[in-house]
Amino acid sequence: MSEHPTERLSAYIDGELTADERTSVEQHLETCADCQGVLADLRGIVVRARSLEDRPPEKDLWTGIEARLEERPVVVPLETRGARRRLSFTLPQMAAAAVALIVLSVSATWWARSGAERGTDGGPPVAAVQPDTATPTQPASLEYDSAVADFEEILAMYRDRLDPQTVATVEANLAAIDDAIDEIVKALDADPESTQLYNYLTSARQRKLDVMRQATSIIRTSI
Amino acid sequence: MKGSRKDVRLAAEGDARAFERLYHDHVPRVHSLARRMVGPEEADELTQDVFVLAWKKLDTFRGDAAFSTWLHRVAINVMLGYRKTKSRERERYTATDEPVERVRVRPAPTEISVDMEAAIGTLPGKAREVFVLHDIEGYKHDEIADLLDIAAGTSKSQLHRARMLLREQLTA
Repeated sequence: MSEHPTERLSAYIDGELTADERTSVEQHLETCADCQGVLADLRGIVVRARSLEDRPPEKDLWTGIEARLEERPVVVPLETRGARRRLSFTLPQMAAAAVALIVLSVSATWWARSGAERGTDGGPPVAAVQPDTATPTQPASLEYDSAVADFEEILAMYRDRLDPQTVATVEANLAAIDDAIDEIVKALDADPESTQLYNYLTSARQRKLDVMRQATSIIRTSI
Repeated sequence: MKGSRKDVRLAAEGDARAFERLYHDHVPRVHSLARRMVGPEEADELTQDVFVLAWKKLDTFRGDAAFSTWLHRVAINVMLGYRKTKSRERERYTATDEPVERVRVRPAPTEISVDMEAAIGTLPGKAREVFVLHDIEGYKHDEIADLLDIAAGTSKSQLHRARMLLREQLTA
């Protein structure tokens, strides 16, 4: 009788032997009761391992887990965890920030309200709230520009104290929207009567205000 | 449906209640893996570690794979990291690769299936890891080789060693 191929029995079960090796093992098994027994036992082990059922822990572990969960900020494109670190400010800085936030909030609210008031008749959505002298590509530009300026002031004030990645993300988002606004403005110059383009412009500017509002919120939670 | 996409999304946004639902869906599998890899004494703590880490890393889950697959991989990494740390600690006290944690278990016939996990717990380090990953978790040898930083041939030989040791305990 040939040498017992015990070391190869696992590979035999798993189908990892070459054809020649497999033939050799099978020839041995035909005449070796010991190896047949070992093979049956190993197959039994494999079957039992695969049939093990998952069981929950005997005690509930959630309470312990919950206690260790760090508060995680809502994931929005603008936010990174670094932006939530604790910062310290002087009272004058806090006062300036508060004034700036109020200005931005009022501007954004006005912008949102004027958006709600326009457009229901299908006419140019922004020109309806503009002075007659305003050009079509400058809808409500004073208030809008004011909100943008306020935000830029806030960002400039706290830039050095914010997470650089957050600032970069905010600026990248705003730059992308600005690019879109520029494209729409160019298109409006060529087709000033287009209601669709006015809607696009309003939507893009509203999006920019939303981004600035979110960014301001991040700054506010960081100070 | 386990690990519903909605709960995964909500949890990624910071909703602890949604994460709790995910916990209840997946804790049997994670805890069972922990029991088999590190033993019942430390399974609770390691299971908690897995879910705390998953919470921290959830915003890196891209949804390319099922949440259960992603969580399982997190769990495997936690378990293997823990075992590696423990192994280094043991090396300070012993220079041999003998199964220092091995305790003979001779279960009564009626307890034999229940004690499969106890028998797994007596296996020496690499044999235990390979056996759990291959025969229970269904990993292939090349995957195990990557996870454990060993050769695929070593994985095969450790698997055979594990099976033979279990046979000795469970069928004697």
